[in-house]
Amino acid sequence: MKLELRAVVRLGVPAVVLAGTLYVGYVGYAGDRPVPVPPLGPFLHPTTGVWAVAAQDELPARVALRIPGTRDSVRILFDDRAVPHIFATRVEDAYRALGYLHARFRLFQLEIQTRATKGTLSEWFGEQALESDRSQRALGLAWSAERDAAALDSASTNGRFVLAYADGVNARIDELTSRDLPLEYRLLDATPQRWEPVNTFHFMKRMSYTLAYGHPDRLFERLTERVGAEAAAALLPLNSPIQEPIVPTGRNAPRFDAAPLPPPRLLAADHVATGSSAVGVQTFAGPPPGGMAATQASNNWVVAPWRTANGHALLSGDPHLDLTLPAIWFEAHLVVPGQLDVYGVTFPGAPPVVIGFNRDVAWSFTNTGADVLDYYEETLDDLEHPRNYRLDGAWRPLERRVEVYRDRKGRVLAIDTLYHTHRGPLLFHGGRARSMRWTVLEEESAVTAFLGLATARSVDEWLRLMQAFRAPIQNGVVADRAGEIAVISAGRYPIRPAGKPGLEVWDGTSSDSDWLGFLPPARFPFARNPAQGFLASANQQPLDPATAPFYLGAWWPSPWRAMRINQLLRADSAVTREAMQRYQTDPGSARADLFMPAFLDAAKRQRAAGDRGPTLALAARLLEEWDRRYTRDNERAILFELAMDALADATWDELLDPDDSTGQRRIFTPPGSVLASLLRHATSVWWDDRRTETVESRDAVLAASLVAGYDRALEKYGAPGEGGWRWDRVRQANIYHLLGYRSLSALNLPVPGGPGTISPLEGAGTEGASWRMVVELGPEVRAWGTYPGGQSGNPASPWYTDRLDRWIDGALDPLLFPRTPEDLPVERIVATFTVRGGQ
Amino acid sequence: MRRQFLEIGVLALAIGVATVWLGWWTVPLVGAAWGVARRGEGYPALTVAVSASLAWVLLLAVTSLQGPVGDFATAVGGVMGIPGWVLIGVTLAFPAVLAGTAAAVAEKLVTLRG
Repeated sequence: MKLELRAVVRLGVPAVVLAGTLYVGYVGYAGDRPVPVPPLGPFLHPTTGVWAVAAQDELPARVALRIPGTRDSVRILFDDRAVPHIFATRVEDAYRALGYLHARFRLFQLEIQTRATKGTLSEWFGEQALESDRSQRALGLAWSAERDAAALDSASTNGRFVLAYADGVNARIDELTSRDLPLEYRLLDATPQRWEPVNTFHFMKRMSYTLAYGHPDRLFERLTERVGAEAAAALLPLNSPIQEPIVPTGRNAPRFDAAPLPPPRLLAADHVATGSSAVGVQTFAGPPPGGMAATQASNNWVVAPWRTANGHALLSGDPHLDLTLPAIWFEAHLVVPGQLDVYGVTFPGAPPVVIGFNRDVAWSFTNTGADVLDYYEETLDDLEHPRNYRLDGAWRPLERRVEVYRDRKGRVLAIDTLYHTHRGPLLFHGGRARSMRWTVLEEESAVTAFLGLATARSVDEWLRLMQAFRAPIQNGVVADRAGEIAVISAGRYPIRPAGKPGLEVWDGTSSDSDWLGFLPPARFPFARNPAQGFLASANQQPLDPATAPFYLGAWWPSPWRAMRINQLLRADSAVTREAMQRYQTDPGSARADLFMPAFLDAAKRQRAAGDRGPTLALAARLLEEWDRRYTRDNERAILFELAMDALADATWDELLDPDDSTGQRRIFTPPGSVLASLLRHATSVWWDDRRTETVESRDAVLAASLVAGYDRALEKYGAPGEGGWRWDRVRQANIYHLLGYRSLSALNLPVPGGPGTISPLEGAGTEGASWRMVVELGPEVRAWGTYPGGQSGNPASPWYTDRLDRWIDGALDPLLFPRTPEDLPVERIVATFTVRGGQ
Repeated sequence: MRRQFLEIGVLALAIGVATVWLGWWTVPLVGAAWGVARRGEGYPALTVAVSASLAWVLLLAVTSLQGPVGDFATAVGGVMGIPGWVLIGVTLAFPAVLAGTAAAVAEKLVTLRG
């Protein structure tokens, strides 16, 4: 018996261990991990598993490629910044090669971006991603992308380019071996899907979603319930209280519209609707509550030759977006003699150069943030299972589409039925059904427009091409070698009934609520060769309503960056390209210029009035030492920022969320420009903190906020002078990997800049300049640029973060712009790819 | 002793070639075959386990010549919530466990049947 037991143990133990090891080798382990451990056998394989990623050579010195569809051979020379210079004889072949390169360097990025819009992330992440998928599909983005793809004329020029691009992506997918698979696919135990041309449209919809999805109706409703309609309208003003518009007005300074804020009419907390319950076939979370649209903080400006040191027009562009690794951009240069010679940044997922320059013209964009979305309260025949909606006294059939959500094993996680009225998708919230009309869901034009811009030969031609641009509405600045400069805020601006703004929820039962059309291009905000000699946009309100009183949108961001850019350009009558570069990361702040004196003056007056508190004197003295610059070694900026936080807390007590148990969260924080406007009214009732017995004045609140800011700084960062207050120790940029993995991210980056600076650093530091470029339009176009990260999506690659250090320092690299392969200095060439023709 | 080293070397070569040409699943097959061939003689499971680990060490060394395996291990280990050296350790232990347990099971099964 003893012997038998020993034999069983001797066989059983290794058998169990072997079985377990084989199981994790073949199947992996899910457990309750958000991302399962992949099958360890293939994953750990020392030559083809995850380790192969470290050995992937993305840029071997010489490579011969086969890309089906390529008619004539293509040469791709990579310079020492890993930028491909694609020399082709046919434009289609050039875009085919670009598709291949996007896939070679950024395959995972291509797919995850597409999945995010298609709402198929749950096929990778299961239940975790289900809500995100459902909300994306409910918005109709995928549906809309499919319509655009179906309408694509494969015989048209741009249709052929999109198809050629897809061929290129698929050529890379087809040649992938187990050694070539990107890291993320291995971690997720996934394989790349083939690239369909519709994916390009999915990607463009994704960008539009990022840049043009926003509507204030729900927030406006809540604010109205909290403080009354009049005050809500003043806190969420149609027009910015500080006017420094994109289209110059002839003034040399911003215009302040300091109308008094109407007093709040507070309702009891139990009267405030929570708006959180939802019925219907799918729920609708609504747009982000932070503004008309997520505008990020892009800048662009152009300077006319007569204001530059060497007499050539200069253009600067730095679009700010979510910072990710790999970066959102991929830099490329495409040359097809006589047809195309364009350099700039492309989105992996789409063929065009979006921001860049050619031999004659340079351009860049910022987001306009116009109001391009409206909701309509619809009447349905059945809220649970609707078939018709009411319009002009009759029932009209809803268009239906069934959406199925699956996990990685193909199991169905959920099924939704989506409905469309003639306006757009129907969304359910709080027992109500609202349809949405959104220009982004209508015919796509961005790919076509961007492809066209690459060939523009002059500002005139570029502006003409921009007239066809629809969404997301963009502020484009442009300059050419002839010295012309211009700005245009182009896209589809809805014209609403009776000229009303689009802030309300419209009555869906009447077609009288429908848009009447779109603003004709002749009425787009536009300026060309202004007397001031420069033009700048930084997401601010495009037109001063005092001179152009028609509605383009609301909730414009405070124009601090625009004010600072204009201030710098006004003061510089001989701008150099070095100055343009320096301005991109200028640490000065128009916001600080405005608020810091207010704090100091209030402290002085309070002390004169008898406030003898020692902290106020000390805090005021410390703040006075600040040069109002957010440099990395600055030790006073943090005091100002914490005082500003305390000021918002004390001033906007009326906006505290009654549903928040902590009593700290506000339903909304009005923009800085509204607060700046309030500064001019010392006795406004808004200054009074209703939580206290006393009635506070402006000066009392400012002085108390300064003291509170000092106390917070002391508590969080220690005493001043001990180094804890250094700006780069308290605020950093954080660039996360697309999947959020910290070990693949670049975190705590010490960059200059703060809230409201030209290169702003706010919140979690996850947004910033996604591309910086300066172009000089002389006899030969010269350019400098960089973006955070690198060309490669492979974390083991030397090209993954090779540009980070220079980006942190605000430095730009000279961009090589050869006309022919022979023009590229041999010592700068690191790799040559040849695509054989006749495929 | 010399023979044992020789055996380990030859086995490592065989496992290495089989891993590269056929796949990771050949590791337990080689282990099982070795367990059967050397049943009753010394410690075949231990020998083949060491050989398998050695084979993967050598293959990983070749890979490391082509890229920054050490730094990469730290990055990927970070994703999985483990230090990089643990990931390398798991990579080397995995074939050892497969080969060793397969050899032990095969050896015991053949012995029991015999």
